[in-house]
Amino acid sequence: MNAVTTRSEGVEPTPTPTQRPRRTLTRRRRRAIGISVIMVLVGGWLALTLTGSVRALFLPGPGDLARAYGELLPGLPRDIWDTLVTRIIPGFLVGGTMGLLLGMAMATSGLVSAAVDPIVEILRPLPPLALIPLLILWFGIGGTTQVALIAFGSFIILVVTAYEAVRNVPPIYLQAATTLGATQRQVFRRVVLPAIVPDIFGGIRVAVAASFGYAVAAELIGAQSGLGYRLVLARRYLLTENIVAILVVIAILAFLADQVVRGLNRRLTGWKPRA
Amino acid sequence: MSTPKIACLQVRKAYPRDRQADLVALERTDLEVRAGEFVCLVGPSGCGKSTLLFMVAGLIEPTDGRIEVDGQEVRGPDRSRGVVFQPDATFPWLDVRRNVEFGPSLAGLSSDEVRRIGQRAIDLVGLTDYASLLPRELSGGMKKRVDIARVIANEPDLLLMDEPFGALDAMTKQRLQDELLQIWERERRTVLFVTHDLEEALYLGSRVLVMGLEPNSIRSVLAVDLPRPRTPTMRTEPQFQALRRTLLEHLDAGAPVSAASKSGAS
Repeated sequence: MNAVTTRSEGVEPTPTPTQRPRRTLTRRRRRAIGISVIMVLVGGWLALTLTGSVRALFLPGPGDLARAYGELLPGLPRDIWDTLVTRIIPGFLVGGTMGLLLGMAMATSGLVSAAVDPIVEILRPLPPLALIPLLILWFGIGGTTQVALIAFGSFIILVVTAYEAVRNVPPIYLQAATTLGATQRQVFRRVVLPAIVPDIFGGIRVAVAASFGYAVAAELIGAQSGLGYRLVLARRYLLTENIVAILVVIAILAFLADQVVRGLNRRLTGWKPRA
Repeated sequence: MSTPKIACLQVRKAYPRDRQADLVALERTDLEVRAGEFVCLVGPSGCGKSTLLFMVAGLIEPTDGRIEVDGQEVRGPDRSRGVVFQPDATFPWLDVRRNVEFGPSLAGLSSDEVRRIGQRAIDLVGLTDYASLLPRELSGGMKKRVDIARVIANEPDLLLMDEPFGALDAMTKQRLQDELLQIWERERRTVLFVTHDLEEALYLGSRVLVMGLEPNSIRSVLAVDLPRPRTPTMRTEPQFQALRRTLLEHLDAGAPVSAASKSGAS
């Protein structure tokens, strides 16, 4: 059409440094080094346990672990279900959603901020785990305690994240939007919401990881099912191999949960420079 | 005479400070811009030129005085007064097309209409082939084009530009100046353009308003009687250089008294 420009300038993406000073290793090298270290550790573990130089009570060997999984396997789906599906997921969703909504409300409304800020500031430094005894008194050992603890922990993390994220939206975006005719609501929906997504995902990752911690901790202290409860039983009967076996399961679950969050993050914030 | 496009009447902006006199960003200033005029504001850093522009935009409220656009007092930002800022203001989560369509899409038009208006603005600034790229894939000059297209798409009566090319390299800057002039020649929207680049002010403007420090206000006006359309070769002509010299004298006259006596340089 009637383009006014000569296009010699072309598309010239901002160059992103491919090598930061500290990271002079190639991807492949890094991976090779990481795998080598793991292999050395596994080798050491095999050497120590297979030669019998460490008692299985302290460090179980591969045979012990296999037996432990054989023993735990029938109950494992149930335990994972209880911990993950009935406790972590609802606790995180309820607490996280409330935290996000309240954090955004605080950042956008002086009234909400004035009303809620003191409470949040008092609760924020409180270690959530310290609430466990009180929650057990209130809700017993049937699972509600874990949900409440996870909800509280996720809430605190995300209320702060959401508040800071909204506060950190560059003013230039807000000025640009209002001078283009956006109402306050349009600014919030079309500028603030998309702009805070990357920060929010940072908070979600932290909250998801913390939720696993809260779930297991609350199960260690008062529960009748779940992975943390299995840990307590295993310790009571000195079944070290069961403890290790359950730890591996928890680690895998937490890792997968983090991968899900990261995958979502990558899909939603692909626009970010150096994503 | 008809109502001016912009009328600033004894406008002043001061920020209160603790146990000190107010910080005066802009001392009482009058300004009139006629419809279709291209007016440049020049002056040293901190003279209040951006403050004045932001007040016309409705982004800053004056402490005293009154700003009228088409005889109506300015109260807050409005889509009829488009602003191009110095820093990159493109929304990084939207591609070029959606950035440009942002304004029209707020106004409740049909999606076909929004698309058509957006496409026109994209073509106008030469981004036709880049409509689906994200800002992070664009150079500084291209992002500035997106900023301009986004404002143009809104068809504002008034174009307020706050050192829009200040962060660009010299060549990109000159190219964008020529593009801006061509758009202006075609549409004759009123432009208020803040810059500290004297050559830019002379090349673009029909009038250059010179601001000074202490008091921060408009000191003098220079009519730029160069023919239109302006062409790059004009920059080197004697007439242009003469205007440049005059403008420098105006600026020196606008320096605060104490500083002016210390050094005639800079």
